[in-house]
Amino acid sequence: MSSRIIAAWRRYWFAPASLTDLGVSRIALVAIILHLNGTSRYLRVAAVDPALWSPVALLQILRIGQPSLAAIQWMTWASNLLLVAAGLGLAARPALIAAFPLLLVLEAMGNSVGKVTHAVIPLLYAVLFFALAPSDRGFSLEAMWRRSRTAGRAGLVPPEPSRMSDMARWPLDLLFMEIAAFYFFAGVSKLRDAGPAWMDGYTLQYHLLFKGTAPGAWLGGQLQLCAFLSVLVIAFELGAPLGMVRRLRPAVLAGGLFFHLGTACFLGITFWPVVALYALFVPWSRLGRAIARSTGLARRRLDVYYDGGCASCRRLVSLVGDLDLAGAARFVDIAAGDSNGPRGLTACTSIHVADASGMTAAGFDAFRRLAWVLPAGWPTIPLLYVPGLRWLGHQLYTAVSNRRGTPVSTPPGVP
Amino acid sequence: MPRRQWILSAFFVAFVALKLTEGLVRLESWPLTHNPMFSGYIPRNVVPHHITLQGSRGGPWFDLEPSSFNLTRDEFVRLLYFDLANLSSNCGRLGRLFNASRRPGTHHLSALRARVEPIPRPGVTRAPPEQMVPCALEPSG
Repeated sequence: MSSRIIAAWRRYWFAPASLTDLGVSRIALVAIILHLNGTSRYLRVAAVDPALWSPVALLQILRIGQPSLAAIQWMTWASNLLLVAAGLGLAARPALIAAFPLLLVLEAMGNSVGKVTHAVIPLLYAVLFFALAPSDRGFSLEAMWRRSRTAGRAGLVPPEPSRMSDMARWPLDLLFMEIAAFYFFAGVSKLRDAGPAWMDGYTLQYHLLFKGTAPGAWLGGQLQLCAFLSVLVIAFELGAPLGMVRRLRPAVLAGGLFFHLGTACFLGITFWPVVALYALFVPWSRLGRAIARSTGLARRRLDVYYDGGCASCRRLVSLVGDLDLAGAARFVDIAAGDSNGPRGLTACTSIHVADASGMTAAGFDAFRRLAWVLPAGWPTIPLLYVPGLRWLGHQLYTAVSNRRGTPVSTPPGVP
Repeated sequence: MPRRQWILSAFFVAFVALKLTEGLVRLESWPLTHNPMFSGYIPRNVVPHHITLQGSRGGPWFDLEPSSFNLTRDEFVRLLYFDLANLSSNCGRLGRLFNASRRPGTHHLSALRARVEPIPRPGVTRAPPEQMVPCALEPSG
């Protein structure tokens, strides 16, 4: 019996999941916090009159008083720097571990001026969970560099198994648990403090009129609708834990989206950091593949021919594989005899790509073609078409290839 | 089960226990919370109101935003809205802090008042009238 429980527990928390998804979610998390905090969010804490400073218990325990402007600036810059490093994937987990106490103290300070806000608490938990999980192994510069070096030394690491981990699922499940508790206990508090009468519409009507948005003022005049929406609010909040069953999670998150759209429209309360966290639950790899299918990218997939006997080619292909979120590239090692490749391609030549119609491109032109089919490469497309860059790119590619003793075939159009 | 999974499992159990404790014991000490957001019942006859602080430097009255006191709107509401009986002393405290943080003379407020505007509520015909509450810029006692 106990072994079955343990097996079910392991299936729930430790079933292999995508490290790429976790990595993309890490970037999303960092972007949310950087956007929220900016460089000036906490400055007013130093400017507020000391008579209005009422530290939360956490700061009292840590014996931290009202900070000076310089201290707040220093902490903000340090946390932002660490978050940028985490987002890029440079020592991401140590950066998140170091950023967590800074963010906790900064946020505690922001809550020490008389009004406590709860919207940022799930974000802080997310930072903690991502710091403890292997969130740095997918979509991070460090991981790409490490895999690329390994590929150069010992051959390509097969992409799929290396992108799955039994440690990649729990941070998101635990984060969802935090968000579900956030809603659930808000619902329980309403029923404990007000009882079922909370749903008679008068309480919501009061808050709508008090907040004074135009749509809220209209809705405040519709008592029956207020009562109906109050019932929906309680149903959503008490039902949020159902999302711990993964199949039901999209429905709960959709409900949350409507709930927050409603509070933003009628009450002027966005709680946007909580809603933004929903993005972390997006199955990014599956989404990438779906976009590739729906936009036709999948039909335009490219065969990437490389020389598996050449270390720099393996490194390069490893990097491209890491960026290929949509699964649009198929890698063909001509040295392993996987294929003869395009006509005229021999071992140890420049990287070639070919599409379904047989159109080929080599060297720098191959990078241009790859940038079109890799969603992660789209931001670089304008750069790759700067006048003169094709010539420069080809010269650079030739120089690098010649260093490793590779004869480079000249693509058509380049003198 | 590998050791790492046991350790993480203990962490999950501790986290769930923390969340249950927050909710059941109604912990409210940031960042621990049971999220009592908008949880109180507000009967049909309670009329909401808006408070605007208006200052004067000897001339015309002008509105003062929460940012004049380095406060957010929520912090401003928390300070003034929930204790109307002591509104005069509470807004007077803000006025004194405002004056203390500025150079004496032209930047000081010579008078401060709180304008309390009831918001009409459907079904409530006898709403209290609008009030002007003078803020005590000199500490009492």
